[in-house]
Amino acid sequence: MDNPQHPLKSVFNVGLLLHNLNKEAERKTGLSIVQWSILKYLIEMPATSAQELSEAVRLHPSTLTQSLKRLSRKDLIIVTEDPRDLRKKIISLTRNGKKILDYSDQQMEQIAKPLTEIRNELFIVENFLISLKSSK
Amino acid sequence: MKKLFNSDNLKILESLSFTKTLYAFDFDGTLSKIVTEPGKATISMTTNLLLEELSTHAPVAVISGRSIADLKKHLKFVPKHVIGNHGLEGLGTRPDVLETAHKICATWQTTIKKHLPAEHLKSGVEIEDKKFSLAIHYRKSIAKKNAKLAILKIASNLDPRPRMILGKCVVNLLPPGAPHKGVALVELMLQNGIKSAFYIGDDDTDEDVFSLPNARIFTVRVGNKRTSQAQYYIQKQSEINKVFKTILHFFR
Ligand SMILES: [Mg+2]
Repeated sequence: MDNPQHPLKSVFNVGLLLHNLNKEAERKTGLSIVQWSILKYLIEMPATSAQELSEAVRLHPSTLTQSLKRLSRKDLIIVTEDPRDLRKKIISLTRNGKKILDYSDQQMEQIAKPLTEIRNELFIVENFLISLKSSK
Repeated sequence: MKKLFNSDNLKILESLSFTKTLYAFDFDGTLSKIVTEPGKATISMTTNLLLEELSTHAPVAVISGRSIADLKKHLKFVPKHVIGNHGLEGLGTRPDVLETAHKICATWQTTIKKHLPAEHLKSGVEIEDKKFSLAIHYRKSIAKKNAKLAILKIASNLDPRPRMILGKCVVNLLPPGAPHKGVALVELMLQNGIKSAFYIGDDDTDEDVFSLPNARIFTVRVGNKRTSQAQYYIQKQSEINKVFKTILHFFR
């Protein structure tokens, strides 16, 4: 019988899969998964504060700032001052951003297909966690 | 407040059109010009057509201090959502609450007529009975300042004590616990599962919307006023058609 795969190898495989997924998304749509998530949130929630967005997409504010700069340079979002509190920024999707998002949404289904491969890997990790729990 | 007609601010306005947004409008001084006789307020044919056209693209509401019956007389096109009496009408307020409001207003009216010095009633102060609230107008008064003071004095002694909302040459008296326009807008959004809204108004009664903490409500005031809580402003009421055309352009 083959040796069962070590769960850490599965975790590594999941990481690799997600990395490749991200590369594929960038190649096909010009957007990373994180950037796509930001645009997805903004289309539903126009004029969002930076703080709200950071909580919604679970990104540290400094990491978010970098992503926002890139999206803004590509004219996919607009960052403006909050008229009621000039220290704060509000972020909105631009027409161009909507166009790219619509296109990316169509592509995402295809891009996300390899996600089914994750299932086996996660199964191994899950079994490992269960065995850890029961051996306690 | 920032100018609405600025390219960055218009981009934010445009982003509202990408999702389900409620477009809500005050009536007097916003959809219609302010006139000396409130009964003669009219919405222009063009504004009316633009309002109707917008309603084919997005949910539209008129939120006013007027009663719904009165609003319907003035609107040639009646949108799906018409909110009257600052939110008491049009949001499914329980009939017994309305009945009580009606009784309270009738009692107040009698008291005001009895106690307001006759000189004010003679010199242009008018009590408008909106069934579930009262509006005491002093726009036509020749002694506006005195008239306002006399109205406020009587109103603060009424029983039950009314919720007062001051507008342009008008003191609105609402039964205690009655909503204001801000509550009305949020309730309308909740009832219809809408997360973002556009609101435009010209008056102190609209500050209840402007001061809502919800970042998802894009607020515009007709006229620049330093102390207003609105985010954006247009210079004057005559720019309302430009506002409509700008929004409609986003849907084309
Ligand atoms: Mg008004």
